Amino acid sequence: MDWNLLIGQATVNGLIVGLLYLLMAVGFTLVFGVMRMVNFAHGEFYMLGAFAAYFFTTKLALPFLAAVALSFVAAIVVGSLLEWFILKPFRKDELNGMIVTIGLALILQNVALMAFGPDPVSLPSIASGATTILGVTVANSRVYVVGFAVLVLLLLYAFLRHSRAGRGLRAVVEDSETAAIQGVRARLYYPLGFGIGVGLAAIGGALMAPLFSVSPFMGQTPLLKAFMVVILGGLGSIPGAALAGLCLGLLESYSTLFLSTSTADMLIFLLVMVGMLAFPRGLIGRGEA
Amino acid sequence: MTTQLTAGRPAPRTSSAWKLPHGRKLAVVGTAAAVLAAAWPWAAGQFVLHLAILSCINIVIVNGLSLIDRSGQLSFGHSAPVALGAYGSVLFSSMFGLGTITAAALSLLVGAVVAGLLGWVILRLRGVYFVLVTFAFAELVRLVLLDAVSITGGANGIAGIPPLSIGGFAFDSRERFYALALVLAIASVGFMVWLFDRPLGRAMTAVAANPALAESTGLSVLRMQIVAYIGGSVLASLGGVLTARYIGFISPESFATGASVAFITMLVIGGRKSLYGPMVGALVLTPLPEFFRGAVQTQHIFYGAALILILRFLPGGIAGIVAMAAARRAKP
Amino acid sequence: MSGHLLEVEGLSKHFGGLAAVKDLSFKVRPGEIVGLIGPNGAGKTTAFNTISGTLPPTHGRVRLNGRDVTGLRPSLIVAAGLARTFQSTTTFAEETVATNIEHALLSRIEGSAPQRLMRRTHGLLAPRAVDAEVDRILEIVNMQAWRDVPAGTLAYGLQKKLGIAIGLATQPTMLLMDEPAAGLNHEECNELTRLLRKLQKEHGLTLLLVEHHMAIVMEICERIVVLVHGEKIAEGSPEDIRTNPAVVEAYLGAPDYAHA
Repeated sequence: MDWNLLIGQATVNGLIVGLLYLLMAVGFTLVFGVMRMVNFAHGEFYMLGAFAAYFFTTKLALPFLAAVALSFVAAIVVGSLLEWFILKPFRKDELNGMIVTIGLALILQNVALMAFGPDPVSLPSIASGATTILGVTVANSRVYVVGFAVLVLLLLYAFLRHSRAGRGLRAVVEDSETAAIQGVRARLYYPLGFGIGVGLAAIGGALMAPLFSVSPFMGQTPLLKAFMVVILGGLGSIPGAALAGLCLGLLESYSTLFLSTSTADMLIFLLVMVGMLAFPRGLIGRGEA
Repeated sequence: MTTQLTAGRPAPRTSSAWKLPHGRKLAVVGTAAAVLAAAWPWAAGQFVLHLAILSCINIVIVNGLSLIDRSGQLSFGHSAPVALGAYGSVLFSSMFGLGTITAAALSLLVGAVVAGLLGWVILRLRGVYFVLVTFAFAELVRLVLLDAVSITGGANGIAGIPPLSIGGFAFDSRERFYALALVLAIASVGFMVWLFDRPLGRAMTAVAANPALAESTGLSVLRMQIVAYIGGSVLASLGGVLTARYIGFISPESFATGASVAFITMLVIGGRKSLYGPMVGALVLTPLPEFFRGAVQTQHIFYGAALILILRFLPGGIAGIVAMAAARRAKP
Repeated sequence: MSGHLLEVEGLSKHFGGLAAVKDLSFKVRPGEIVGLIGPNGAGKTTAFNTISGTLPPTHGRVRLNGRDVTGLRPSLIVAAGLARTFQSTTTFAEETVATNIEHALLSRIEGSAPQRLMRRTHGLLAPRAVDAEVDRILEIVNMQAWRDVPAGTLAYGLQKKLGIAIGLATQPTMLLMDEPAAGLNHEECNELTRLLRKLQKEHGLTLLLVEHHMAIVMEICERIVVLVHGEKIAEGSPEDIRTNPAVVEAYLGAPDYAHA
């Protein structure tokens, strides 16, 4: 057994999965930070993003990157509208807001079931062959997906850092009291924050669609992972979510080398609990206690 | 809105919404109706009995959820203790040859201990984190059940579960089982009404209403919530035991997030404020799938929409409507 | 060490790099009324929260009747006899005044689950005596007329009195009060002063007040501890404090004391 190869492979897999978790978690924590809402429907937006990518590539024969971009835009629009019409009364109402998003999740998942049926579908491959990086073989499709994901994250970073809307959003997420004092128009940021948050989930779904199969049930696991990541990274902390997402991906990948899946899951759950108790404000210490 | 003028004046005595304004007549009629409704399934055939039993089991489980909720934390993973009760009682029987009742009692005890330990750790968390962790824990339980194939049968579950029996008397028919389920359902409602009239229940209410203030009056929020969490989990486990022994078959999929969501839906739609909310919610929502006749997706969309609408316009749930109507009749 | 009800020794509280309270030490004798004052941001509230158990201290000890209560959760400190009131009014808003006080009595009911869970041993009440006790406390704060009023609808001054009543309901030996005079008008302040004196003389309570309202502090406190930038700079009788140059400077000095 070539351990180096295995570890290398596991690292690559872990980073890919970690990127996915990162996308989910950052979007999730963004929604929480802006609206103090635990969005149980987050996984369904991931799923809808995947279906959107499927639709745009197979039915409209668009190139993959365009499909992803379009899915993102569609998710922002749909998300903002949903926020404005359904979620508005529950802004800042943590508990009831959560339950409302459960209702939303039920609706979204079953609409998808009615529209697409329960059977998984798959996208045509976006690239063939494989490349070897540092001795590890990676399928080209995965390389492209990682590349796109990194691009999205860079754009997100630039947006949050350098654009006015982005900075305002960060302000609302990281310190809504001060933001209010400084006149940031929080009310505009609710639909925007929710839209971008679920948009990130949709991008995650769209990007991962070619790698895994697409079904109306695919949103459950990413939702759970998003939960674990934000517990670890601290709710409301975007950098915390990013770091914790990558860590979780790697951790999962490594532990499945040595343990069965359920033992790995149990171990990770325990670690997350311990992490949460030891770092109540998240790994970086900037989340909510 | 209070002004200096009105705020100081003592408020007129409002009558409790449950003191029936028309006196004894309504009470007698109401009780008779309730008794008839409870007895009706025995005369109405197997299908109605089946729904009635499931409703009663759900009443027990959702009362457990309500207990936890009334101490100030809402569990989004209530399916976990149900699963532990179901699998626990079955496995204690089959692996250690214990009688069905003993196995059930043992699984409740184990469930209480697990809830106590878990609660001691996670109830320190702010509401939002608590929700995430309970959700994650329920998923974990499901995954473990799926994976421990040699013990739990994995995805295939465990079939052919023998019915509960005491002495030689087996609850092996729907008629008999309904009697058991009905008694336990009524007992669970009675328990809640009794508990929240006592100091412990009031302490939980205080802790939920204003934790900081309750803490400063000498009530440890953590301890009260742990007690509620243990109680709620035991009720859920009891529901799990009943499920296993009635349906005769359990699998991890019956205890997935869909179940946790269903319990929350029953609690919210039934009404979180009223002590009878869980009962109303279970009674309304358990038979509802039948009205959708297999159109599962439409049914779930209906649930989702109902949740949103109720939270938006009727936060007191269905039981809340009843309470409001009774209160309105009480005013002259 | 004997003879003191409350002993605060070397109390410090750091938030990250910031020391909100530095090495605070003072003692309170039974039956005293002591005031804790200082300019805004001096760390009074932090010290208060550390003593009452809301925050764990970084260093130092707090002793109540000789017993070390440092870092205990608030409910256990209350069970030991130290109650607190809150600065901003906080009540069980949906419940009546009487029920508010009942909630505060729960851990005292003999044989009840809350009493046993909190392991409360003193000041126990028979279950039958609860109503009478509620009346007794309402009488002390002169709020019998508002017995059945929902607490959330009360006027501000009455809500603050209810807060005091809730603290009294825990049968404390000592009461920590966080700015009891904040937001009260002149009439209400006088009433407060009378109430505090009554609590001291007729009910043998020891009081520690954190307060900004100088007139009240000077009038009612027998001893005053002055905090500036988290450190004690003076301690003494009202007369001593009034004439202490360091204190005068702290209060009349440069405006940049506003936020430490």
